[in-house]
Amino acid sequence: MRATHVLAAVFASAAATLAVTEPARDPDLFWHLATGSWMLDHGRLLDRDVFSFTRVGTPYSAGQWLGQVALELAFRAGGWVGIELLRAALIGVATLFLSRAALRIQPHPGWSAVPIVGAILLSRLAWGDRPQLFTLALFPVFLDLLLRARRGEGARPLYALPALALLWANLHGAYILGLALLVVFVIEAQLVRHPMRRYLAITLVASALASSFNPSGLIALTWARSYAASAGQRVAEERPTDVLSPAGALYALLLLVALAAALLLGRSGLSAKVGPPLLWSGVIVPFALLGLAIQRQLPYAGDVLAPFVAAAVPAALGRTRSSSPRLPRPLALAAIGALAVLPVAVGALAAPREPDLAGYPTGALAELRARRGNLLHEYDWGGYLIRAAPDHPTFIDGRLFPFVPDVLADWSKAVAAQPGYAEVLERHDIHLVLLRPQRPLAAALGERGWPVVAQEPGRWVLLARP
Amino acid sequence: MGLARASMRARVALAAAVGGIVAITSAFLPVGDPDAFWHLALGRAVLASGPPHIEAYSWTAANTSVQSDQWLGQLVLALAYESFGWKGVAMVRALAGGATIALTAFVALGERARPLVAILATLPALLLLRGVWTERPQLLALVAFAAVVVLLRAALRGQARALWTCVPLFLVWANVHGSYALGLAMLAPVALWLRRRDALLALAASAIATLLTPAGPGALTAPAEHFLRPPRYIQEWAVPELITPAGLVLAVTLAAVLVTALHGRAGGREALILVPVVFVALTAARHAAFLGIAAAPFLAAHGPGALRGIAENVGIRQLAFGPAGTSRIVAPVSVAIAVLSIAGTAIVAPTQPDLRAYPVAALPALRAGPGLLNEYDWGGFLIWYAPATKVFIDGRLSPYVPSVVDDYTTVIEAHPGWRETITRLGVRQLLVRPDRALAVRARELGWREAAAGPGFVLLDVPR
Repeated sequence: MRATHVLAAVFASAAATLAVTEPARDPDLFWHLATGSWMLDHGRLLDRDVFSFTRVGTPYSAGQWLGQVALELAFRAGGWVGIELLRAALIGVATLFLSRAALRIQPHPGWSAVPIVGAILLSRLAWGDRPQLFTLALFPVFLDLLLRARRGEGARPLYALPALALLWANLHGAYILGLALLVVFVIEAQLVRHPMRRYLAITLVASALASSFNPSGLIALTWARSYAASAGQRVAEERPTDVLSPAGALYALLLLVALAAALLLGRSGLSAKVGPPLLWSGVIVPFALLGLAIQRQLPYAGDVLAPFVAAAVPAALGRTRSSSPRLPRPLALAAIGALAVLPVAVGALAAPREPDLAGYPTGALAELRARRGNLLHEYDWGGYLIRAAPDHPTFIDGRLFPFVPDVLADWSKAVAAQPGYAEVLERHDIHLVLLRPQRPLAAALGERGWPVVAQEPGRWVLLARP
Repeated sequence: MGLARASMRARVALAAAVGGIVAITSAFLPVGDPDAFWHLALGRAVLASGPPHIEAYSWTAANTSVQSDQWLGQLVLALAYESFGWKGVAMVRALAGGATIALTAFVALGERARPLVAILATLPALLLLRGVWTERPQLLALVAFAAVVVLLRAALRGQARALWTCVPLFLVWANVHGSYALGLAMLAPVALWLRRRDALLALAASAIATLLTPAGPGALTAPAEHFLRPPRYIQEWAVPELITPAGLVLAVTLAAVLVTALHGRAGGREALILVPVVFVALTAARHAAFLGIAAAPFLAAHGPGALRGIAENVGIRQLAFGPAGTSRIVAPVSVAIAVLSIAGTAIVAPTQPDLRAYPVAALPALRAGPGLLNEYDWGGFLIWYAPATKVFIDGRLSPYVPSVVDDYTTVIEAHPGWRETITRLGVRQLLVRPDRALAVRARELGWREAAAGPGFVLLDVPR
């Protein structure tokens, strides 16, 4: 067995071990769990709102149903540790296939390690406990299997892609990234008349067909357009990448190193030492731009840049390509087995037993239970309230799309105390307001005589209509 | 012989024609950038008594020391205003933009590219420049940036002596705008790459020249602070959004650079210029134009080769661009276009600023002296049109970071403690947009409305 297989397992095990020790804290986790729980309890898909009072009964997509059910099953099986183990497993898969892809192009561990670690660090942006973890895991799987086929190292795994596409389309809405990757490989193979072109085309058609078997059918494909056009205006994680932030700077470094290496090597150098330039430009350019446009997509840009950088930098510096040594199969399998057990063992011993709720208004729950009336609250506390205060339907929460545009506009106007905020409160019959204390609305209502019924200075304040 | 190998005269003429067309087209644009007014006011102060060192326009930062890092650019604007009024300011803007594009086209034409290819390669610079097409020293600095690109590429082609021209250029640039730091960041790797004593001496001399400013080495303080910790709450300092029209141009330019790098035969020398510029262009929306300028010669030189490489990859063996057109009339026609266009800017440039975005009707009701809290982007307007009234904040930003900006945010967004802040600072009037939380709260509290109009409200703070 090649040593690169063991090395990929080392990276995967390290990332999974790191991931399993982090507590759950993602604001969206709670509504995903609530949704999964509802579907398991009712035995059917949840395709309309049951959690808010502003959009109750409104139909919406159940496109992540399988991911939500998986999260809830993990929780029911192992509590918060179950969530953390599922997260670690998916991050381990993501890292394993990312490392395989990079080591496939650059077997030298030294040259591969830096970009792989860079891509792992970028992937941390998507380590929140949500169905997007499945996309984080499946994208590198697609990338690695496609690179393997394109390099003539074996096409049989391509048969798995349609099945994975079917799963992916029901796990998370970003399955289109996998299809996009396939499209790039198919187009490149057709253009250069690669021997694998027919296999790749058949794989694409089969994967596209398989992915249409989701609750929204082909309509799910149209979300990408609306998502790209508007998401960044509303949600912080969807905003463009700031290259002066730590993650953005790391990404910029990968991108600029890739650019410099490409300039140094030129077409012929790339073709000889890294791979077909047409394929790399087809893969790098769209995903690099996607990463710049939407910071949440940085991990996928990192996935495609890491193998390129791993191979192109030493080539640009004139280093000869090394090959991977072989290890005795039993030894390699034993090492891989031990590496697979490591995160599980660490999880059993050190995974947090409770979520990190420091960012949530936990102290307000008792007062909320004692009071009735519609509640206006912070956007990113909505998911938590769905789970922790089910007696108070939310005004808005991380599901976002059911609330666009009217409810989101009302919410924005109200919390910023903009003209018409009082009408918003009246129209929605708001009796309770739970906000961060620095919100203009908190100050305005305080001045208007709404008493503070509970608060934690600097973190949250609960006001009630007088 | 085609224009691809045309004479220097034809290159200059064609580039001047392109720049002239850009200049006259931009001359039609209205004048009225929020920062133009305070730049003019400072330029007047420079004319009167040299670069100021003490803050004189605001009451929140009054008498603090200020940097005059753009004094030369402000002086140019003020001289234009004193000579020709607003038309003069518009002409400076038009000619600076035209010169930037002319230099960009000139260097692109010099890359053995066909004229059409060179002009197409210049297009991103033109489109990205539109975002910073304002009456500020920043636009003058882009001329210097384009000139540095010309010089660096000449040096990389073997004319290392061209780098000596950088010395006076950096001396001027450092007194016009803080973006000279990017120029040094490009010059340094090129000089080191060349490994020639004269190139290194030119680098050292250029670096020393940038110290010859009123603030000396301190001239870098504000630009460095802005670059490393950009005020993202100001639109032009925001992260470039690739789904906006300007962002889309940036994305297409970056994509073109990447594709050309992957399919061309550019060589590592191109990385010396492109890598730092790509990074800077991604840091803030206002920096995107740098990439357009620096990428133009690269795309002109290597874009066709990259296309040929792609064509070969897909089995098209005979991709050619046809023979270059040969015409003796190109140079004289270009010169005529350039002269007519540049002269035309004086005719078409606006004579008055466009003040529709400003609270003009509030001016008579403003109280003299300190005590006004104004919108950030109206500060420059007030400095120019209401000199007796001191502003709370304006586009200079640096004197106000962080405490005044924090107070401003607290009050204008009506955060908890906003009334205490007003009392503590002694604010007497509020001149804000009516949809501000502050306006809403002040009206709810019954504060007297001294004036109101489309887009503004002036409220008196009760004693």
